[in-house]
Amino acid sequence: MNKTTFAATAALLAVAGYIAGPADAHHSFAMFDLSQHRLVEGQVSEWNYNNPHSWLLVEAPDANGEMKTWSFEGAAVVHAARQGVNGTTYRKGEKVRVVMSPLRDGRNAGALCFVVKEDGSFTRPNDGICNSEEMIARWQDKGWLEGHHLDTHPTADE
Amino acid sequence: MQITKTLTRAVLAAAMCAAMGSVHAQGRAADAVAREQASLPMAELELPPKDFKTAEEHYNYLLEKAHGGTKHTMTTIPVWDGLWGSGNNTMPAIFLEDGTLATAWAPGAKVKQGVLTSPYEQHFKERRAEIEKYGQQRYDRLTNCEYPGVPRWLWEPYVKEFVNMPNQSWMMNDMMNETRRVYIGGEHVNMEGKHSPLGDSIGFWDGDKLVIWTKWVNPADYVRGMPLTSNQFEMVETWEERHNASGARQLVTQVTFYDPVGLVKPQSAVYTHESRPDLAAAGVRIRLWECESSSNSYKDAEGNTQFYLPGDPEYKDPRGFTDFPELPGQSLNPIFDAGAQ
Repeated sequence: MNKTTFAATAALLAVAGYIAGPADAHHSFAMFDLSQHRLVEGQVSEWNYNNPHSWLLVEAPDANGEMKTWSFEGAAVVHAARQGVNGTTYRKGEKVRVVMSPLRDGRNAGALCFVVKEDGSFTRPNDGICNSEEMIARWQDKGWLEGHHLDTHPTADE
Repeated sequence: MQITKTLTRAVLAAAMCAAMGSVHAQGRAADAVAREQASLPMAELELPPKDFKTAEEHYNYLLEKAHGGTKHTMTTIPVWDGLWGSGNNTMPAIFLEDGTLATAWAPGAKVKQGVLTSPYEQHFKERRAEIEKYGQQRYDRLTNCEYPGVPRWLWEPYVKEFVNMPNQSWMMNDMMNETRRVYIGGEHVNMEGKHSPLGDSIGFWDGDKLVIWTKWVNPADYVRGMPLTSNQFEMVETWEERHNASGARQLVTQVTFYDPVGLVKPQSAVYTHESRPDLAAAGVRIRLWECESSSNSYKDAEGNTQFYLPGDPEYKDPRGFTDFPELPGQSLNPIFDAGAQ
């Protein structure tokens, strides 16, 4: 989906009134550093379209270049569904680029914000803590999606 | 040059946010989404016809006014079919100055004095102080798969279904399979001699309005970030289907909370549920799921919510497990696994 198409889709969804994610979720989000977002590039090993939260597992190098399993927490089934994501959105072995807020403790995991699929389309299985539409636009505007694995950028300009 | 400047600003901003503990960024993110939810259509709060000291007194007054209740048949009973999602509610205004869903979780909200009893107000202030410090409440009972129960059921933002029958109403929440059963025309029964997450609910119909009295509820929270309820909590609800300002189907629930241990006096709020035909069109159906087997969150030694991750000995495969991996046909995720490239 190109930028114009994405913006038009977002506007239509907003008009329909279904753009808001869940304010509440199964647990607190205090374990994530929501002040920043990090890009992780890898291959899908599991897509758990689950309650109380979905989890996308991706094989990707860590900071030392060793291949590791990265875990990204997304929304519950119903919330992901209303953002157009379902149980067949991601295929095993598919290359993805994930933008997420990392765990504060430095482990290879984070709160999923949005995922760029191999064909360049954007998917939003995120929970309410990330405004994925705003964040997609921000990463596009800043040119950060042209960056590299583990590039990290602030959530806001202040 | 512009890119260099932008990157420099970004790095500096990241460093500043990290130094500040990112509390304000968290508050912004949570606040932005909650504000959108708070903008959903809201019904007017209707206070009880007079002050009642107890839920029993309130319920019996309404029952008498309804002449013992409307005796519906399967052909006359209100049908609240389809999928429903939680909408807006006024509950935060009970406990916070100018409280709304937009301020319920975010730092900056001020606790209303004198609404809660002294120990409950003190606890609530400590909870809000944690939100001020960390941007949100660090730990929630749902982390350990403890049931939200009522009154939180009224707000939990998963998908719900409602089935009304002459002798029972079933209110089913996708969230942890919490189904409330309302026994129409019945009396409270507690043969177990204990409380439970959803308590015991009885009700009657007053025309198209369903009146419910719930008691024997486990102590829990109004919702994360809000005060605790005590084991003396009871509530009287009046449910009715209406249409909101945009013509969409809406279930409106007028609620009065009775809690002589937690509340100085009874408090009322209005909750809404919005009809969600879009979810049905997207293929959403309520499936059985069990938090204990699909969640890897836990409370750590410092009181924070944390996760077990793949590789940790405590990690559970959220897809489930099999005792017979050597046998064909035992995979619990055959559709995804079959799609391997």
